[in-house]
Amino acid sequence: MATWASLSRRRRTILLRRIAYGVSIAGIVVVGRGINWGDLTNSMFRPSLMAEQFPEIVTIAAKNTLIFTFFGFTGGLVIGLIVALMRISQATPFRIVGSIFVDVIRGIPLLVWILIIGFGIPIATGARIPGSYGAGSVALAIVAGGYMAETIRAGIEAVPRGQMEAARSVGMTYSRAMWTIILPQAFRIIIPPLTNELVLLIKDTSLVSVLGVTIGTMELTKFGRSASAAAFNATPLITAALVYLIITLPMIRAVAVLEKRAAQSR
Amino acid sequence: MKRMTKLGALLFALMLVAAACGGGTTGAATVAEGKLTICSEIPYEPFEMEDGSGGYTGFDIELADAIAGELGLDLDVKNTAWDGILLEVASGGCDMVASAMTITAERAENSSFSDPYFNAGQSLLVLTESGSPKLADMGGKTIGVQSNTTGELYAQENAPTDATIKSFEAGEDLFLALTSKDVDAVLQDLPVNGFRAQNDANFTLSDTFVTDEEYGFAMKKDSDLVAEVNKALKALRDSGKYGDLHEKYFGTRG
Repeated sequence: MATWASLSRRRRTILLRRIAYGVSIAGIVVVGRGINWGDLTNSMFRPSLMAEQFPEIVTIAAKNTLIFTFFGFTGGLVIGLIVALMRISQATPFRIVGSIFVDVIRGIPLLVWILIIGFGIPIATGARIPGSYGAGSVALAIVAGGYMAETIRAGIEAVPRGQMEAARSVGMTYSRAMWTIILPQAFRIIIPPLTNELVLLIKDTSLVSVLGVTIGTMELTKFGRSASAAAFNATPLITAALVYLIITLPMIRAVAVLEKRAAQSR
Repeated sequence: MKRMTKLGALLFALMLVAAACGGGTTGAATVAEGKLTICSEIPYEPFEMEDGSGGYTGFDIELADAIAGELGLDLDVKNTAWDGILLEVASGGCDMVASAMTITAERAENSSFSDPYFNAGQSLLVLTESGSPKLADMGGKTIGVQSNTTGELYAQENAPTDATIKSFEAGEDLFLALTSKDVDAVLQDLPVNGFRAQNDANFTLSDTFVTDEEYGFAMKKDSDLVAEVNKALKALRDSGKYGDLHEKYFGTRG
């Protein structure tokens, strides 16, 4: 038998790859044999229980997930844009407030923000955010805004400086140049990362149910969780997970395509 | 040589049997050797709460501890989310649920319950400033309940049809929601609402409902542990320890 040292680099690579394949297959076989497939199907993928989740899992749960996402994303976009403009402002106080906002928002978990906005502020001030989607949506929007501010700022800074200088030199005001020249280009640059934020936000909506739900405001996670606890079976939770994938996978693929295209055009 | 092998095989078989039985004086195997591991959603005063020094206490916890003592085991408490707490037992995360859980036919389909150890009804808790409304007065109001509880079920069946029923995942969030006026009332087990009203003047117990609910310890379906726990419960009742505990938390001997 040839010793390791006597093999060419190419032979070694091939040998190593075969070993890796062999170990992987052995691992899959061992794990696969250890699983009771009947039990697994019965407790995670029971078809009758999956069917039972419809149509409510779409007409109520997925709908509410998308409603929270919509409010969170549009609100976050507005907040993020304002904060991003503050952070690149010439005025120092604006810059300071902008960076404090971004740091504080990003440094605290979303779940804590949801509890602060849903319970903390009303207890302290007596002021409640109205509507069954209110507090959850506001919390999502504020936190999404903190993350988007940084994305938008990066986008603005990625637009060549000459663009602003040229716009100003033909007599445009700063704000007109920002709105009509810089931001449109910046947003084209940040479409992939913003879509990523959207995907994250869709998943983050699973946290708002801590503020309580009525039958009409359950989102996907809460819906699956409740149904799983009631049915004593993980199938409803798995069904909810599949619905998440149906929503998020096209976006994840779209981001990949957009990023590839952006890389090619560079 | 042949004899040696036979002896070896016998010894090996004995070791296997010993290993399968596990240690401890209990016949039923527990998820962690020498320990009775319970799942409990904490806090749910006065049944389960933090003891202020890093551990847990409460009526359920102390009773479970006494049961563990009867079985020659140490108690281990796992603070578990209410949603899916029975799945935790089914999946081997703990030996039993000791979490003020009412015995219901639906729950008993997939779990086995001990004999009942506590009688509870349902009740309505409101902020003292909102007077003393009955459940029938809750039309147009929001009632807070905990998901997958008998309180939620009672509210769905008995609240005025134009009342909004809002379900929360954790029992502790119910009081936050009431304090922040997110809900106008909390409908849940009487002893828990009663304890809160007794200890905090901001809350008033405004309505009570007799529902003939009994708490039981939930275990894995058809587990050998059920008989052991029932035996221990009976011994504790006979020795007066159960009565002492009941008196400590509820003022009567139960």
